[in-house]
Amino acid sequence: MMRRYGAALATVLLVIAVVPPLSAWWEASLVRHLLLQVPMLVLAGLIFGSLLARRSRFLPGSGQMEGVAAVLLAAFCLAFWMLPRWLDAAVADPRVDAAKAGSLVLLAGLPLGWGWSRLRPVARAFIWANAVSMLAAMGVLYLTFPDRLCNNYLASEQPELGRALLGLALVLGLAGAARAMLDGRTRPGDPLAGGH
Amino acid sequence: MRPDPQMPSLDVAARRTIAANLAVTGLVLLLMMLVGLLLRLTQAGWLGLEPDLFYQFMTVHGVGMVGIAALGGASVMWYFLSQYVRLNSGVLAANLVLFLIGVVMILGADLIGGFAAGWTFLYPLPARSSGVWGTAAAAWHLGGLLLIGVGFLLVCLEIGRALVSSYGGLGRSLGWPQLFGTSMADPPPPTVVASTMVVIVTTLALVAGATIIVLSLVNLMVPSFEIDPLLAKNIIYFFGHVFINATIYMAVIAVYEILPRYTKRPWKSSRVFLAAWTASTTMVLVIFPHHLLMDLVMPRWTMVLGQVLSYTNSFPVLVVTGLGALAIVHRSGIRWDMVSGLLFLAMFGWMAGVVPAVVDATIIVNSVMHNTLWVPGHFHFYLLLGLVPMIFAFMYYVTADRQDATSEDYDRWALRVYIAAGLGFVVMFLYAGRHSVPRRWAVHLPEWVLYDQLASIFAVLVLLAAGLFVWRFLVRVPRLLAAG
Repeated sequence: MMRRYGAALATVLLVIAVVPPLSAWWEASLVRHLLLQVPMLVLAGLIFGSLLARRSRFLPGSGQMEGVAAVLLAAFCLAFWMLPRWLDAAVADPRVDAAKAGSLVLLAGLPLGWGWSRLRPVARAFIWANAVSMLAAMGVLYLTFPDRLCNNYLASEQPELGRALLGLALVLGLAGAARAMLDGRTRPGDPLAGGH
Repeated sequence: MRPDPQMPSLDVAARRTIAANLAVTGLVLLLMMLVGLLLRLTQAGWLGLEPDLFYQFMTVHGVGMVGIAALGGASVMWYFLSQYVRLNSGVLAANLVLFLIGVVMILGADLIGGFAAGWTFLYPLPARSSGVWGTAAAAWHLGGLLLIGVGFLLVCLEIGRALVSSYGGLGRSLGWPQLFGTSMADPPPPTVVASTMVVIVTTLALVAGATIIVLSLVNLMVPSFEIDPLLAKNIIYFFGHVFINATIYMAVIAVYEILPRYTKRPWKSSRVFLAAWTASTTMVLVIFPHHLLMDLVMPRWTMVLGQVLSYTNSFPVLVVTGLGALAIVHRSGIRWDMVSGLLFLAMFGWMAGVVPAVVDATIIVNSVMHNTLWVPGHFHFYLLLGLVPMIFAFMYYVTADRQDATSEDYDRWALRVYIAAGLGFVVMFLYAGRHSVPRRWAVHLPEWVLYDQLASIFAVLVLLAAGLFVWRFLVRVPRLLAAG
């Protein structure tokens, strides 16, 4: 299912995110830009990355470290595009916009999809916890920062984005907690799972 | 028959890590006790610490004690939980490394950089020192806290992974199917239930803690970025309250595991037991407003919630554990030695220490007692006489030997001194608090000095007794390493 439709879904996401005039519509609002267009680009790359990961084989014992390296690369790329200055530049300069689309697909989504399946559950959970924490911190930053951060966006959009980021942190946190609480499956095949 | 400390599920690496954790816990505990003694000697007028240094030491003492409470508690939890689920000891070792790096950062920031904002690092104090410390010192301190938090987060996530893998979700390892009657299977053992609670609340606390530390760091670097101080205080107290509470829930696992071995009676997870732990899991997350009762702009309902749930939160787990301990020991023929003696002291310290805590969480009392020495009185009560004895009992337990006595005469004398002097020490705090002596003052008025002097004498005795306990552990560590 994933193999059959994954590439098509990723392509559709990519087209919706970057093809004019849709791209201009996403970027016309700070909230749409950061919370819809950017995630679509990352998701497209993530699907491609996970498809590639299924086809590839990795050396025994190397998987975890490959995963860490890939996810770190994705984290740095995402951190870069969290900077308001670069979001602003992407709206003003088509070259920066192209670099944004390319890097979010190839340097954030792709390594994330590639590396995620190689990470052990604790590393995944750590990324989840870190994402919740940083989304909340970003939310408070946007909610309370007194100055206008972007030339292309109104100052009034910043608290909107802040509230959206806080909401996203809450949803992500609750989703992770609910999954851990109500998982419902034991994993006898997990090499680290013990009997009781 | 002497209880058997052999834990077949612990490999050599895990034993080494537990031993290193406990050694660091013991040594840092003694160092922090010494720092605390210097603070009391200064207030007593017997030592002339400059106020700057006093507040640096106060910060180091506070954050250091919270850190070792967590390190010692995590060691207890990890050791006993390993019987039921398979844990990756590399994570515990990583936590120790991160902890030590964080400690070095904090000590450097506080003692060299002069950071002295208290362990609660209340916003915006780190960034507004009036020139007492620099931005770099505050950043190093907060960075050290962040690193230590990352280590404990990894421990929680590893334990959470193991529980989910083995039980099929934290709800199951908390015993929900048995509690709500959807399963007739045996409930999870008390250690698993307590560990699940700890994982849930500590993970949430650490995520919140990381958020506010990052925001404080941003404020340090960009002072024009200001967050709502009340929001910051709420997040800090959510993190701090839950985290320090969780340390005692980690350590109480020693009671659930060791007393049954001593009495040869099982400690079962009854439905009441499961209900108590589920109730406390929820309530411990929402009672932190009792720290903000004098923040009069807080919504009234949060104050009411903070007071009412403070009453109800403490008692379920306390009652099931206290009554359970009494029931299991009654007419069991238990042999009293250092381990059982320290565990019973711990039960007393925990239960009695909650009383002044709950008193202070009452709004009408808090309006008088807030920021008096009553507050350190209550938390020293259940930490010094509750949590720390649990860790000492665990140290004696894991280094016990079949061929050798668990305790000598001087151990028992040290225990008596620890009990008497510990009680005297905390009573001096509470008594001074009753007379409205403020907390966190480097210089005390002459009328208050007698309490400080008596407390200093008691503190010396506590330190000597604790020094003996830790020394006994350190010289017997090879037994723990060889037990595998």
